[in-house]
Amino acid sequence: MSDLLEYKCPCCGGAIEFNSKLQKMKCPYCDTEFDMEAVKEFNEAAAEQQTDDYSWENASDNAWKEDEASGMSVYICQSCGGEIVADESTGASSCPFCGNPVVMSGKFSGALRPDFIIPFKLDKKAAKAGLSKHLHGKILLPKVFKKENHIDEIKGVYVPFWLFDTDASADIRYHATKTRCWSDSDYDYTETSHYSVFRAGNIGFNQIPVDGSSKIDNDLTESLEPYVTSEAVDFATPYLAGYVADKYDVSAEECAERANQRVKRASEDAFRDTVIGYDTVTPEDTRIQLKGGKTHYALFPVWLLSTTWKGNHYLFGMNGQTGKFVGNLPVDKGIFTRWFLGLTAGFSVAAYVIAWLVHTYF
Amino acid sequence: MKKQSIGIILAAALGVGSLFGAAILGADTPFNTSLPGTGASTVQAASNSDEEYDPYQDFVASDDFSLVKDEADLLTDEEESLLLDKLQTLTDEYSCEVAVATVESKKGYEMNFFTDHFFDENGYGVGENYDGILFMVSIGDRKWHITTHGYGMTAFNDDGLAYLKDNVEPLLKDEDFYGAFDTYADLCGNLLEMAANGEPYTEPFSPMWILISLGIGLVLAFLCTMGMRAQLKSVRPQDSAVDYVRKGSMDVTRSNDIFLYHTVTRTEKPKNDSSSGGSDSDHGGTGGSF
Repeated sequence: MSDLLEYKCPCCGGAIEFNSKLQKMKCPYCDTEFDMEAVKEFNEAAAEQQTDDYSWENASDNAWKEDEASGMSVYICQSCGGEIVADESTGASSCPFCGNPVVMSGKFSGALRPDFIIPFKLDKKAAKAGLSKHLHGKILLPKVFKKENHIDEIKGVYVPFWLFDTDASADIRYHATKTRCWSDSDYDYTETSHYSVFRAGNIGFNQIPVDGSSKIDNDLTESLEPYVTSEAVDFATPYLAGYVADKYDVSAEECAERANQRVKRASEDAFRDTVIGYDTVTPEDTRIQLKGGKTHYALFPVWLLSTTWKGNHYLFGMNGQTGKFVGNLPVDKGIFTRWFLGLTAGFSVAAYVIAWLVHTYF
Repeated sequence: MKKQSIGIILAAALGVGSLFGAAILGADTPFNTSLPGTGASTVQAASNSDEEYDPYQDFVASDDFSLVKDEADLLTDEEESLLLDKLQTLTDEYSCEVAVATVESKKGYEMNFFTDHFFDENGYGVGENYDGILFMVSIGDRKWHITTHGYGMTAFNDDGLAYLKDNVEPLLKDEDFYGAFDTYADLCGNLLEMAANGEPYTEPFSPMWILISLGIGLVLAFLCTMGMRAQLKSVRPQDSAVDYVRKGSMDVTRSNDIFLYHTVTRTEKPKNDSSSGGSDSDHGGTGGSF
């Protein structure tokens, strides 16, 4: 016992001391008491936890072939600065993100060539049907949205995504509690037992997509997930015919942060399922080490619809593969007020009548 | 160990006792049904055989019968006579005895039990059904109880008793005993008159219900419209990548669960205040503390 050991409090992380009066470990900062064994075990287990390591290798280094690039034109939106690519035969006249006119900036050149593409499976008619289904049954939606002509043109856009493949080894500490209740004649008792639960293991991820376009909100593209990535094929320019493609303007390195967050969260969730028998389980400390993390560049199909209402811009999207339709819609304040007042009146009268009946007949 | 177990039994008995105190006492003592109208003869019996234990003697008043029996001396003579006049008039007019009594102590009994038996043993009530109402205050325990019998139970129904309680209890809390008794007499007059007209008092439908209903309406409408609002929102970030976990790729290499400590909180149970209700089937009543 010659070496000086400092133990950390499992609750607050402060240096914990042995309290001779209690014959227990007591934290001078948060006043929690522990058995000797628990503190020792906790500190040993915590010391074993690995460190974080999020590293990705960019595996897409495909360059455009000379003949591919020559058949395509780049258009730039004068309003939002969006840069889209279309093959010469398709052309483009308005920006799919904001609806404003675009101008051709010249021949396409440089930049990375996509590794994969998921071709459009659903056509424009399906997108229109998806939109009317999306608007159906929404009581508070402004009436004008239901008129078809309000929506500007529906455009099929290939949205650039970075796909992240990796094996991860996770080392996670959860705080778990069990609750027990009992009563005697005077009091109700609640006992909460606190545990530190350590789980470590491996988990693999395939092609986590992160939107590489700054023109489309990441929340929107994530809402369009999931894509069936097993249907992705090697990229070839003919797939672009009739559609426009967006060029990535957020690099794989910048997108990796989002992928890391999602890997971390998914690992916490997956390993939490192995923590059984507790009433609450909360991740406290998560360490992730990625092994063989690779990124690929891919294009995914999205039908985009944009519109403007009362000065605000609304963008809707439909997954061009699965048909999932998303897009936040505005609330018509007038309709909202009418419903709120009407329902208040209706429910109040009903409540009053019920109270009166109960009072009179029971 | 022994002390502990006795303690537990005592605690249990007390717990049950507070709920069913009157019933337990009723079963333990010879009178488990009340004997209305035996008051006069019992007084006799009690004075004749002093050496024998008489279970009724606890309830027998020391003085002669009166509609105002102020044993605890809470009223001045003048107040007593004013009150007596009022009560006598009511009693004569409606053939239902309206009485008031004060005592120093309820002698360890539950207040409703004590009051019911005080009514029975002292010969309260008129007619063959012993129609009457008695307002009892035990000053030592700061408890009060109103008991009804016969026609009194019809004239002073639950709504009527609640009305009396609402008006009388605040005055008792202010120690305005004469005020409480006087109010009681006036309200009893009103209630008896309504009953005599064939429409015993019913609690008016409180205007508070307008506000309460409005509150309920607002909350429900808010929930409904929030539901409608939520329909319009379909864009949500996906914080987890669980959809992309490679099947069968997960394995757990280390797993240990360490118990750290536990905390115990205790909350006091709400005490069951047996403040109202006559436990005796022959009596109605209400009461409380002040």
